[in-house]
Amino acid sequence: MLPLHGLSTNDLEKMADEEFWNYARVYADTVPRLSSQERNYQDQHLECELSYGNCLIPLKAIVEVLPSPQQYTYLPLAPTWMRGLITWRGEARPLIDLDMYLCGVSSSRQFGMLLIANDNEITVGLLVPGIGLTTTVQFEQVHPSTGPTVFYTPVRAGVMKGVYAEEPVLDVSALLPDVVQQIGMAALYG
Amino acid sequence: MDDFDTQDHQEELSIADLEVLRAFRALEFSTADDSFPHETMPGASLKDQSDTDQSAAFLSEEDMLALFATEADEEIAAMRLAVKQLEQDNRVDSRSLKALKRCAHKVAGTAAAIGCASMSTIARHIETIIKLMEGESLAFQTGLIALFNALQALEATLHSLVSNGYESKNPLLQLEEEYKRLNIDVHVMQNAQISSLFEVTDVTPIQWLSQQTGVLDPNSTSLRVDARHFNKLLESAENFIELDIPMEHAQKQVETALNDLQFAQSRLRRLEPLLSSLTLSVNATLDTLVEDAGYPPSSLVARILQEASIRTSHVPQIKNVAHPQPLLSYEAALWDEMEIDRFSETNVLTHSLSEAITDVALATTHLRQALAHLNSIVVQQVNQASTVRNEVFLLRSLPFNFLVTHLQAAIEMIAGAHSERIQFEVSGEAVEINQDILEKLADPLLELVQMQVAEVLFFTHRSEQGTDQSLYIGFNAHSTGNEITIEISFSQSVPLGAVALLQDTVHQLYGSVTLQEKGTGKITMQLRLPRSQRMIQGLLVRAGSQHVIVSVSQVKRIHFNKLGINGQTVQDRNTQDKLLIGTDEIYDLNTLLGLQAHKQAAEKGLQTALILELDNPGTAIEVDEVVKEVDLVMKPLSKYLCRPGITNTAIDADGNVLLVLNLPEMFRLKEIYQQVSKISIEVDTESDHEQPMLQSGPKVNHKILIADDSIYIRQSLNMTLSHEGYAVIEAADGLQALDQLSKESPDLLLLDVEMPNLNGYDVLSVIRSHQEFSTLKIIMLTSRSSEKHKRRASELGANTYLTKPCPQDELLKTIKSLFGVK
Repeated sequence: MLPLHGLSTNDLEKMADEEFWNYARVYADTVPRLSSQERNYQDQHLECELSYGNCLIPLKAIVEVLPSPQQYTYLPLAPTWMRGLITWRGEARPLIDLDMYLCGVSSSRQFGMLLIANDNEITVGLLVPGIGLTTTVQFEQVHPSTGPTVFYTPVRAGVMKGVYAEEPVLDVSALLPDVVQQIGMAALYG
Repeated sequence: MDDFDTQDHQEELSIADLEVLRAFRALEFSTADDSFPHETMPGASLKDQSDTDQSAAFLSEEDMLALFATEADEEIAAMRLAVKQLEQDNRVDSRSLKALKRCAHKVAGTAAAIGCASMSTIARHIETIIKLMEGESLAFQTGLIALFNALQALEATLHSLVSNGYESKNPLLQLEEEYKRLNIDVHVMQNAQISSLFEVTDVTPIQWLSQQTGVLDPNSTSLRVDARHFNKLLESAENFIELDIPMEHAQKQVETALNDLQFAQSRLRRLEPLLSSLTLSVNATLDTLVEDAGYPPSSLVARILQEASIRTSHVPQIKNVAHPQPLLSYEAALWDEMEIDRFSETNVLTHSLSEAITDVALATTHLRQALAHLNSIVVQQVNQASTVRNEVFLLRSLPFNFLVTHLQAAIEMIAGAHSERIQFEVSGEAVEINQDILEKLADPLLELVQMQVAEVLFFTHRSEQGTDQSLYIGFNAHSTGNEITIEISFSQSVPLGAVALLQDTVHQLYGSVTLQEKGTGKITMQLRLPRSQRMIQGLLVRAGSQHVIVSVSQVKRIHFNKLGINGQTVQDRNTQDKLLIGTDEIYDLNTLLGLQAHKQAAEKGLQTALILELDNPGTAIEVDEVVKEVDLVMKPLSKYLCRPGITNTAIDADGNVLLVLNLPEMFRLKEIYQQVSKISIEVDTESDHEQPMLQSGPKVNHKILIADDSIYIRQSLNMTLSHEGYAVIEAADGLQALDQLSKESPDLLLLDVEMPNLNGYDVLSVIRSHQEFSTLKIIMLTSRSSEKHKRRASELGANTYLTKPCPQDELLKTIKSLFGVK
């Protein structure tokens, strides 16, 4: 093994546990950090209005914000929370009712905005009744969710990063693959 | 003629090779004490086979290796001969290439079965090289060099195997290095699963350039193009063609704007006389007031003074001056800038309005001219787009003859000496058909004609002794607009299995198949297909608020019932609807798509329906409206968005997604899904109950037929199965297998796929189309491991599918389970 921050493997082996962990903490702090601007962007979240309150979606996952589409195309054998298909940049994309997906109930409110979300080459349209301001999320203050709430059903717990200032923070990198998987499965099982 | 029959094959072999074959034959009838013939063993390091315990009816690993080595040596010798012959023939359509291909496939499979990965890989490289040569993706001379290199590598590997007891990797590595030097990426080719007949490959531009056909043949009219660049061109052309719709949309918007402008102009014109008359009356009143007050009769000054007098209630004393009277309208029309004092303010206003109307009229005229010009450009653009589309289509096309030649060769190969009994007729050979379509049709059409020929030559002939039946096969192709029609005529009835296979393929291509019986006793299959798989000529159909596209090629006719049916019960109406359109089944598109069904549909009777080109039963789809016929570019859906029969979309001028429905596929796959759920329930139920009384131990009286072209595979399977107490018979190709089936009536067939004469799928199709073999259990045992092959075998009626090399335990367990033995 290569010397680690001036210490060899033997040196590490000779360390007491406490000494080792202190060293590890110091070493971890030397990892290059994001610039404040980058970090600011990474932490920026958009507040989205849903039936049971607001949720936060990372801004970096939102490619475009558009008015709610006037028309969309119904796709058979799709989950109830998938409204249909829309065209975005010349391709058909699924249109997801985020309220229905998270809490299993259709929003009584009119959909106002369409968020085009993208992560790891998956692009979907998320319908939300409205959007609010952008917020910088302090990740150290994001607490794990204590359990399912009225805001989302237990099966959706996996798509939440946690709760920040009493607002759930969506994990888009978990949400989009889940959406894709469930839409695909619906073709087989209805 | 058959390239691979024993006679021909033996002519290619040396005396030593024939000795080997004789030795194998002797082995088949050998007793337990017989020893393996020593003289057939290549190399001295293989252990003396005399020690082998033949009494156990098993060969040791060394024996197996020796057997394989001998067989591989024999195949390599045959391949060398074939390559030499190929060099002499100096053309890619040489029969030697086919012989070479078969030998390579055999070595690949057998080597894999015995665990010789390098030899198997080299043999697969040979198969790839042959495919590239056949598809003209690799220059003939380069291909020959690659084949020589591969044979050398194969020999060297075999030598290392014989000498050391294990195969050396070096020859394979050296070969792959050499291929890199020649710019041949065999791995990419293998991954791409190039079709045996036609291929567009993803090879490097250097390779393409180095293989310019023009270099080899200066008279050639063809030009090689990098597939990636070609696909980009295709994409750009499609994007260009797609601009038609927004352009036409924009054109309509301009037309609408022009109409609005004309309307506004006419309103202004109507206002002009009204304004004139109104201003005259206002002027008259004003004049009276002015006369009373002594104001100047006209102009802005008069108005200011008038307003001031109203505010102050003071009437100024103005000198009574002469002032211009408002001119009558005809006088006002004679406008003269030099006599401005003659005109009142109202005259000026009216004149300005008149001028504005003239300006609008002029602008309208200019706009109309510009629109006419735009229309003519749009027409030119649409025509040009159509030309580009047709030319791009031609780039990806081949004449129908290309496919027919392959079919004819296959027929001749099967029929052999009976070729004169087959009358083959072709028309429309020059019709250009998209390569993708030809590629997809090639296999099922080949199956169809092979089965038809086998049926007539082997089954009909046997059952009707003394009647030497002949077979007529006719092919006709023609194109109308964006549709291709292929007609295939037979003098005999067509096997339903092959029709079903063809039908599935055609449906996937958004086409349809119909069977017609002509008065002459001929059966004609009519295939209707779109010319391209990227553009769709479809019907824009409305179901509720949803618009979808249905391929024109899948619709026989459209039924319109303007009157509807009133005053009958729902049941009566349904029956009458069916009679009205002459179909057995009527589906509602709303229901099929899962949209809200029309509650009033039954009450109002069938209004509009698409009668589909499905053979039996006749099927109709009730729709709300057939809007119009459209030509649109299809865009494939992401895999997770695909649904049964819905794999493509099109985008309309307003940017809406239109689902492209493949209705026959929707019906077929819908039923499959229903079956899947049913099966899963049944499986769960079965798992709760033990199978009733499974017997233990082998049943001696079960007879198994092994159909495989590899002697090694047949030998090893024979010994394994014989040891288990089964009676075993063998067949070396598809025709022998059919012959053995009719003579020996085995209980189970172990069937390889790649065999000369009839391949495994052909044999399977023939067997399953004959009732007398309905109880025959069939295990496909092949080196083909892809899901596509497994699915195909299952669809054709195989009981199970095993992949070579198959562990002995698994094979025996499978056989026992099929016989119901524990």
